[in-house]
Amino acid sequence: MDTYSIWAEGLTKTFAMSGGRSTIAVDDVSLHVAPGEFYGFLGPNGAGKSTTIKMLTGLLRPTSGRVVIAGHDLAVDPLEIKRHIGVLPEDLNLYERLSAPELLLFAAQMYGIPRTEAQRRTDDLLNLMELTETGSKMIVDFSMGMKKKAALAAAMIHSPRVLFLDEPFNGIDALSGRAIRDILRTMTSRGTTVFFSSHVMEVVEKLCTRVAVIANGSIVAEGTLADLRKQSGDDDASLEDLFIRLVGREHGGEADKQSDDLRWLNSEAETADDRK
Amino acid sequence: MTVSNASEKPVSHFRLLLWLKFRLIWGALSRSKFSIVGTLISALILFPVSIGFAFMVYHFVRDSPSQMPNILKDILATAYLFWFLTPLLGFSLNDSYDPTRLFVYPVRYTTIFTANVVGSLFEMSTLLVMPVLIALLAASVSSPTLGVAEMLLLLLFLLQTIAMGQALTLALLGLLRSRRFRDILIVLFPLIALARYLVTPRNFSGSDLYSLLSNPAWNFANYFPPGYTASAIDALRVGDWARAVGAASLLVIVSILTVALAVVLLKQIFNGERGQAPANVKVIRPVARRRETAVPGRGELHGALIPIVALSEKEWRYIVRDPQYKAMGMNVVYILGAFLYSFSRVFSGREMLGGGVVESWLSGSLHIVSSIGISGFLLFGMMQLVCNVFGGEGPAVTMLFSFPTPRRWFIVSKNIVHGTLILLVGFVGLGVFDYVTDGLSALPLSFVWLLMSTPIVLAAGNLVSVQFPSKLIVRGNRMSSGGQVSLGTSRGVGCGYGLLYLCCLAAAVIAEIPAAAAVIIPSVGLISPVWYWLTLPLGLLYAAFCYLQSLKLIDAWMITKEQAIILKLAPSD
Repeated sequence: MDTYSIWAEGLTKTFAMSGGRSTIAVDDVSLHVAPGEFYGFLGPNGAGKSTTIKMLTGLLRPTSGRVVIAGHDLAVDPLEIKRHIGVLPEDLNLYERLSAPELLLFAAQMYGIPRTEAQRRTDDLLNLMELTETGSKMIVDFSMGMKKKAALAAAMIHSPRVLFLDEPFNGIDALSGRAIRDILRTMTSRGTTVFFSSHVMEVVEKLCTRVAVIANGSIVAEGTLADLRKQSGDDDASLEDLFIRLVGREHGGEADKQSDDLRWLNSEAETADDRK
Repeated sequence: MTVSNASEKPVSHFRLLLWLKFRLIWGALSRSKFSIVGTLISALILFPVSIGFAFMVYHFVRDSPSQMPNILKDILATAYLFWFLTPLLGFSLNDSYDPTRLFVYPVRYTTIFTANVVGSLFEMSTLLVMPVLIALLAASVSSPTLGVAEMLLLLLFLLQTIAMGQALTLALLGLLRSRRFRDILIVLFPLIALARYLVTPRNFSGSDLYSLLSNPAWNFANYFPPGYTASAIDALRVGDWARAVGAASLLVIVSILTVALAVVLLKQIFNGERGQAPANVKVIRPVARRRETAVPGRGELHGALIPIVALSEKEWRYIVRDPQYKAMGMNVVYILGAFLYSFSRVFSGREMLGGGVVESWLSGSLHIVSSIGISGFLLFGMMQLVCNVFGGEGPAVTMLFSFPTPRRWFIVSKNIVHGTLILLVGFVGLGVFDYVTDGLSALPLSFVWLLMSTPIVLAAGNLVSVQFPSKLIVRGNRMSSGGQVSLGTSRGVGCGYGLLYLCCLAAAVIAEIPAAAAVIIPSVGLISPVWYWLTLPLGLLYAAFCYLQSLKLIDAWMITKEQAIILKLAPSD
């Protein structure tokens, strides 16, 4: 397990519900990600992606299972793990009353980086993320895309060995998206592992060396894109096709039935056209 | 699949908008069981108060007809301010005050305006003032014809006021939606609550009421619709027809202009002709561009000091910038002011105690005892901060706990900032107290006491913070991300935490007994003051011991509590 950047076995999370019931958000998930991998973690809404990432990063205690990151056991040495990872959570959770430079400087120093070096890295990342012009504006007044860029910069500032990114490209414009993709590629080429969840299949297809698909809390497929195509028996399938097949949204006559049910959508549109 | 009946008529937009208004008003009042109970209690208290006040006004006008013009003008002016300020103050709490949310639907802007005006008639703020207006009408009417005329005038006044509220809301949309306005509100609500205590009259008599009613300050209303309405109604009552027609005409003209202004503003926003950018656009100062070479600064920090300083800086910035802390600070200053005043009065009255043992004991120790009392109340005022060190983090606690910093440094950094604040406020408060009561000689001892008691209270607060974390609640308002205020669930929860903090303070008081003894015993003459050289260092050592023990406990607790704190402050959707 020490040869992996991320090693997780039997990861399970159960949440207690009202009335003494409980719900299993993540069920017996095992992951093995090697150093330098760009690992895509896909799944529909509510599949358990964010819960898994929270458990891998020590922000949520698993009900059962074991996590080893960069050779350190999360249950034994969580702080050492946090030294080596960067996290971009889905809901960002930033210090919104700080400006972007203040946030980055703060984050760098929290990783123990001396102030002068922290300032240099802050300037570099602000330039990369095109946030230099925001100056003293507080993050609370940023757009969603700008907030995400600030959060991403804060996650990268200590040059982590493993980067956990939950939906990093949501709300980010094409130019910044390209710049971030390039920097992530450079980081993986230098040995950084990127664990990356996204809904944007094209980005995952372009970037990821390996992909895991989670549905209803369980991993339903894992491997390279070629592996997944091989498993599905369709060599030309796009990742989106494979994903839809794997999570079970395209089977039987469900799509046709849905189309039937929604026929009124077209008829309403036609009626509106007629009204014109 | 649901198939709609072709013969079924669609619900009119007007009815739908009225339903929406009621639903949103009710939604704002009934977010949880706590807020439903709160609303019911408010209604049970406020409506009888309103009806009682209406009876009082009725009899007052009947008994003192000469006061009619004044009371009419004053009540209408108050209602005017109350009504048109309600949408502004409630904008961020109640979605129904923002008509632009309806612009995505195929509804005419005139329908939106009309529904908003009609819907406003059923708002709590309108309904509460209605009984008083009806009482005024009933008390001043001498014939049915005059009654109808006066009622029409009051309805016109109501329409004008609601339209004015709409126009102001529309004109200030950018500001109302801005973060800065939300920040102002967070400070404004507690300020209003505190002002209530300060302005509540004591021993209010009948002559005070007459002078209040005829205060020249009310004359500002003469230039506004409340003045025109009051003047027209009064003129009708005394048969001064020319003044009645003049004042009524003015009211009609102003009402038409106000409605037209509100409609034009609504139309402009509806058609996208008016920008809605926040009004508080600031000039942005870009940060310095990248430095090519990093030159290590002199006196660069190392090791644990780097995160401690970074976190302390962050905490300080939050205290300066976050309005929740400003609102909390106002509470502290109010509590401190109230108790400084009370203690000063007790102190100035000590000569009344006469001679003897008691007087002599008091003269030797009252300053010290009072200092201990005042610092106790000061610490009580800051318990929300001290007993909930992670509360101000909110959802950002996720980021905090993702850093590889030993958890005790989080607490230490926050304690450094909170402790500095307590000491600063305490030093100023005790300095003022000792100066006012002519006891500056006791100041050094008071300061030593503050230095001693603060770490003990911080220690108790740290333990509570880790075991019972909660989102920061300032006077019933629970703050969430971005400074959004939400009412409702916080009331009952806030009471629970208030009780918890009180218990924490009680525990801290017990823990402080040895420290207090170190200060008090030599001061009351039980042992020679020379013993201060021993008791004070011992007291300070005891305080440091308590603080370090709390850190030791926290190190052990945080291993199991960290995720629970995250779940409490940044719950997953």
